[in-house]
Amino acid sequence: MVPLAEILMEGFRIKDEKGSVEVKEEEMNVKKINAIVKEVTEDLGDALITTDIWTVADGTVIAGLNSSPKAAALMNQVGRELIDALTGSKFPSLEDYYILDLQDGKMMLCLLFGDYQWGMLLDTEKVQLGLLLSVVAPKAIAGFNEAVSG
Amino acid sequence: MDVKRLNGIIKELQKDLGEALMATDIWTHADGQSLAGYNTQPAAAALFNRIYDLINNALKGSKFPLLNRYYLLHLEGGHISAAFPIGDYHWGILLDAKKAQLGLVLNVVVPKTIEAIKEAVAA
Repeated sequence: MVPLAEILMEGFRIKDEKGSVEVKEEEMNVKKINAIVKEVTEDLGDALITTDIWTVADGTVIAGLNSSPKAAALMNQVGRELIDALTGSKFPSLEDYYILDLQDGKMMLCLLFGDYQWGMLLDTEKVQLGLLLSVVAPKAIAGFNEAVSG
Repeated sequence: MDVKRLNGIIKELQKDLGEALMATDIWTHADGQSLAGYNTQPAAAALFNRIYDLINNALKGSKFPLLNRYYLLHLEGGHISAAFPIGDYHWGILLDAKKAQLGLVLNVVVPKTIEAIKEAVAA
């Protein structure tokens, strides 16, 4: 018969192994994320009011500038409802971004990365849409993907 | 409402956007019924009505500014769709992302079309 202590030790060993695998899967290069946020902030200058990157699972902010956890939670909800509405229709799903033109001269660009989303609240008077969508957004997407892959 | 004028606006839009325009619809916000369009998709009008409401309801629930001129979605398969509220009416477009010049669309074509739609529905 196997002693109880041995069974417990084996259980702890398996649990520890599982834990370390989960941590590895979620590992991301925070330094790289902060660097790409800084680069985007510099590219957009005064046009960028706030920016946040959050996890879709719970809306928790992982990086940002002038961070607003409340705005991140709201945008997470909007993104989820948008994705659900499109999924339930015969329309194509969202690919990598959506834009909301808001009152008070503001615009929200939200980049989608599966488990993460990156929102940028912008000043519509100051933002150059061509620069935003053709230069900054592709750079942000590439930089974030690189940071997440380690 | 001048329906002939609305149809004229759709034709003008086709000329302006050429192959970039895949479909467009002008519909009443109250019931999602299409008034004029090209490659009209009633299901899309209903969906865009729903999306507009859900976004605005979420924004209204917080202290965030509400939707103003439009919302724009980059969709799988190289499509861009955008919807523009114009009082009691909404106008939506489905574009080929590779062929559409977004700057031209949002800064030139959209303002011109919105003004024309406002005039046509007020007539």
